[in-house]
Amino acid sequence: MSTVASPAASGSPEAVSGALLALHGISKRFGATVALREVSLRFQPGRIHCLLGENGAGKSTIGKIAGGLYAADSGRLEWKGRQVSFRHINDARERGIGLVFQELSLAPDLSVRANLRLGAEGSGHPFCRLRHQAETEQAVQALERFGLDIDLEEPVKHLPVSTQQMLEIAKAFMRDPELVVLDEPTAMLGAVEKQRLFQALRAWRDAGKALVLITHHIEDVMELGDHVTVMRDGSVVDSFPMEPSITADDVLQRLTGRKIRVAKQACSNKVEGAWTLQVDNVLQRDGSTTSIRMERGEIIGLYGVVGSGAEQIPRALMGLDSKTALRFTLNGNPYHASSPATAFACGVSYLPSGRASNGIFATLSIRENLCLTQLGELGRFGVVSEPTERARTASLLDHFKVKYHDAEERITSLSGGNQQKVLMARAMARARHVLILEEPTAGIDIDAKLQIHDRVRELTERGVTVLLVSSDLIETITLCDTVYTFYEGHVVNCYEHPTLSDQPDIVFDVLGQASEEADTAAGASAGMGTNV
Amino acid sequence: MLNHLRLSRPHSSNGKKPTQRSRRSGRRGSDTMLPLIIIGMGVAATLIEPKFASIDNLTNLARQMMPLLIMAVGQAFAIISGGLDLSLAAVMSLAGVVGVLTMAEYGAATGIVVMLLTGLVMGGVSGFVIAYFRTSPLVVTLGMLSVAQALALILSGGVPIYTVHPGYAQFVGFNDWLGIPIMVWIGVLFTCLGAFLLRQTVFGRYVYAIGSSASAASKSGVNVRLNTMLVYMVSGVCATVCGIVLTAWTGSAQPVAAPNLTLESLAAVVLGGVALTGGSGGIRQVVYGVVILSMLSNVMNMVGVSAYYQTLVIGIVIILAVILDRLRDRGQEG
Repeated sequence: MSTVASPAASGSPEAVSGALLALHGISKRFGATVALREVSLRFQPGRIHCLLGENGAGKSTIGKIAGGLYAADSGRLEWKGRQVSFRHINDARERGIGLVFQELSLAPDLSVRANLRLGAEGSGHPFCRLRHQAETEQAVQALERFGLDIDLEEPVKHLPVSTQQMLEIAKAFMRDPELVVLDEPTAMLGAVEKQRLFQALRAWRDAGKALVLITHHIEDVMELGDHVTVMRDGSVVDSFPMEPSITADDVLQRLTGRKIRVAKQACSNKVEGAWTLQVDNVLQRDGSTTSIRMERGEIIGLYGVVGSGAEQIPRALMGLDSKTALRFTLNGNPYHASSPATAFACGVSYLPSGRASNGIFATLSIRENLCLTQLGELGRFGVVSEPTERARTASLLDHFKVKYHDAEERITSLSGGNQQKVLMARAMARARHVLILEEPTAGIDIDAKLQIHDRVRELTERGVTVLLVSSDLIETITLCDTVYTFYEGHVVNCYEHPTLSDQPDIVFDVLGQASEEADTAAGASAGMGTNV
Repeated sequence: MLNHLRLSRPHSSNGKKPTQRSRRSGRRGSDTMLPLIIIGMGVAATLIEPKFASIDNLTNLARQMMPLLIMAVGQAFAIISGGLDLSLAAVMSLAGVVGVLTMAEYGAATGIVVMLLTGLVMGGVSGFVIAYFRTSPLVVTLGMLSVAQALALILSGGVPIYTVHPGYAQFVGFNDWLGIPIMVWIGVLFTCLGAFLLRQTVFGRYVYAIGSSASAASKSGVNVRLNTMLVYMVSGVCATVCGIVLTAWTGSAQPVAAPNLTLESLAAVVLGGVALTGGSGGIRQVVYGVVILSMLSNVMNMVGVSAYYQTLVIGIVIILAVILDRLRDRGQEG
């Protein structure tokens, strides 16, 4: 791997003078890991600068150095042509640099209003008074700008994650910054929120602000980027202004250094006529109910924006929704789960979204994380046989292509993608009939993503039915045999053997526009299936 | 590819203004339930023992309540910030001993200033260690409990000191103003001050933010260390004020004064519905908790329930309160 960075000197000459923030030869290491090597970048006003790269490429580290959260080991920062050094996040903030955190910086128990102003209440001493009225006015303004209609006094923890994400962004913009670094702002947003965010960001760019968008979604870059910097292993590998002639494939190629297959794979293991699971009482648009049958070895995608009801079937299957009206039949027998434990006992396995909170046990080792749910099979009379456990661990890690040094190290020593593979291995080991995957590849790089897809297809060869709930539409289409779209709690359409050309129709469905178009243009939903 | 879609319609607010619902209307149900329980207990107590509602007994009840109330206010700061303070009673004893010894030499006013300084320093040290070394509040304040207790024993020689400044003891412990004891005024004043700090100042906002998520607070630019240290200084001062009141009232400085008070303050805070995980609750809930606990023991004393059974009843009440709290939470989620 060439470590010689081709720094952003490739930017046009007039850009050099107009840079709002310039990074010169920034390096940063965490322990033994080098996060950034001699990175030089310029961020200009009135432009959206996208930092693209896989996980661990150093994108977030750049954002955090620019925002004053980390100090660089070497190199210097120039703000409006003058050298600066940020010791604290507030130093950067006072100059006019805002930071939108990937992991959010909202206090869950505080109200929306308090969160929006947190850390910026007043420059006075700690015992100075809060100005509730002024806060309310500012908060209302900020929320209007992003089209958010929420109660200002509601604790943030009661809001959906996507709304929290929007609040995090609104919070950064409230301080009227000149440059904003957004770290994966679209990770938790549905299609509608994403468009609303993009509109707001374009308006900010047109107002002359500098925006830095850290992402690994090429769609975001294609839609918003004025300038793209591609990073790999802590170095800038490419930096170029975005032009209409550049296609997504070009960007992808520069990102990975090779061609990647995004095409749909024709390898359906669906067994026709041998259904595993039947779901009754699924609500349709006209208020009537229908049944959905899922065949052995079928991969079914449930797609919808946040709150659309796409997650109602998985939740009910796992016994997480006690008030559900859905009825299930598993392998010919009525099935009802009162808790995830009963679901697992029936051979229904689950990989929940939210790796950090619902997935890994951060204080346990890779082996312990992996074998936690299979301890019963690994020993006798409740005593776990260590050799068996180690052998199982080694074979599973190997099979899932997890990159690790020692299975006894903490799981947090792995990268996000490898952690996800471990969780995937854990969930698959218990999937006898059905496996539910919620956002299985959120926030992981494209290689790990494709490997996980391969494992899912492999599982279907054993006759397991897979339910996929993913906000990644491309993933849903390329992986699934059948896709159901959801809007406001009801199922809209069914697409059998979906292809990438179904994308517009699917987006149409989940935005709730199919319902009104259906009356006027009968052919609008051409991909409508009939087995519903 | 999404460009051809109209994106304005679904879920968008169409220019609607964000709602400004009346403040705290969405809060938890304890706001009405606990006062009802208190009124119910008052009525029941009066029916069982008419003396309960007498002015004498109510004044007495108010006095009895004050040490616990002041201490619980301090405890509430620590708990809302996501920690807790186990050293309160020991700091109170130390402040009492130091104060009485100083008063004998330099007069009442100096004594009170020295007491307050004692609380500030002890709380400041705990807070410093907790905030700057990122240590567990449980362990640090447990250590501070030992340190403060030992200092109190060393300074007093292990025996209670009865030579309390008479003017101070009389004024704080027994005088009235407008028919209400001075010590009740002190307690009410401190409670109001605590509520003001929590709800109306930047510091108070930060206490909630740190308790809710210290990392979010830090990323938002909150000085987490300074504010955490301030929290324990506030709780130390509360312990001292509690010492000022208790020393005057009992006319003595005990090296081990009311050691149960720390745990009772924790119990009162929890009983009021303040989450032990931090980030929520308020002084109002603390007052409810203190009133319920104090009324319970007052009534049981009047009826003549033995001390052993009193402890048993209070323990059961606390556990029930926590269960109720969880049930109420669950009701809201579903």
